[in-house]
Amino acid sequence: MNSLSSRLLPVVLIIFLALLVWGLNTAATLPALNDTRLANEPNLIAEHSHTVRFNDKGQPYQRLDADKASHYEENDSAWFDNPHLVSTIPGQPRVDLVTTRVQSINRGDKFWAPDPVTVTRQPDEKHAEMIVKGTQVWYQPKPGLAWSDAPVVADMGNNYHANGVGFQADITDQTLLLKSRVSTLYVPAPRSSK
Amino acid sequence: STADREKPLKVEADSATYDQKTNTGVYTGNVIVTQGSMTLRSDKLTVHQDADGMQYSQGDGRPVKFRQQADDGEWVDAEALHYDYNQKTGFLVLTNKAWVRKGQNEVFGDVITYNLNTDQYAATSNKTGAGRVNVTIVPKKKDASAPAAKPAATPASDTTSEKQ
Repeated sequence: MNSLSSRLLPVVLIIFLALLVWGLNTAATLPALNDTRLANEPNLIAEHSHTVRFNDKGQPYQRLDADKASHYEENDSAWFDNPHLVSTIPGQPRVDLVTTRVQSINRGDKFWAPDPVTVTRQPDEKHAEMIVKGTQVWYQPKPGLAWSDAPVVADMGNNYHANGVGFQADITDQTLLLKSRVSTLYVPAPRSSK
Repeated sequence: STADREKPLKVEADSATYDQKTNTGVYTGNVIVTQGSMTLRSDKLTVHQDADGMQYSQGDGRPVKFRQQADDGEWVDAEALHYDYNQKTGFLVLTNKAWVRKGQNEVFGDVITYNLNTDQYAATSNKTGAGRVNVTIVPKKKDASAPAAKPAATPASDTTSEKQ
């Protein structure tokens, strides 16, 4: 009887230890978190975000402040709430884009602003400030293009006012195309009486 | 009228491009320009503004139609296939099948230069065009209700009146 128990005891102990290890391992493993995040849900959220991009000379050329930024893997895109986008490409007039939400696509190569948006091109030595108000506006900082197919209003200083349906603004080339139903008003500066 | 040029200039068209570097706007399709009493219709219009705010425009149409009330109240109508306007000089140059009518006076020619400051126009023809200038001037009718001319005053009274 003794020889049987002395032979069985180690086997029993090994089995017991094996069960103990398996039990502990199971207890220690967190339940598998199956990936419940849907594709259209952000994988990163930042509050009061302040993003600056630099060109290869290290000069800041684009700044984006927003109350909230939500990043999505798809298209490496992000939605910004109440954004203020400032484009300060060296050698070009500064451009400000303000709206209620904007989507940046491919890490800011292109921006999409579905809601009412105001784009302001600062004055330079020769030209007055230009303010373009529209909706559904696309904006590509490089090469400095903004466009939309929706109604748009553009004002340049106090003298020149234009509106139409659809526009394309080339900020680098300083040209503005109004695509249809154009109406412009030029108010001559009051002639200084001699 | 000359006062029109101080008034806001409105331009409507199917499409337009504006180049801020050269301060030039190009309007295309059903272009209608209004400024005070002046109205101009064309198919295409290019407007440029110099540093002093002076405007220079040119346009093409089938034809370009121009209408404005002159300072004396009469309406001036003009047409041509092409026009050039220079606000600084006040000259409107109508080229190619040009026609101007003011009141009942009419001028036809290949090129008509109309001075908006002085209300004068010069018409010329060129070899390639119809080759003739055609001017119709209708004398103004004497006003029937006007009193008959007074008999000439006697010399004695003339000298006295001149002395007073």
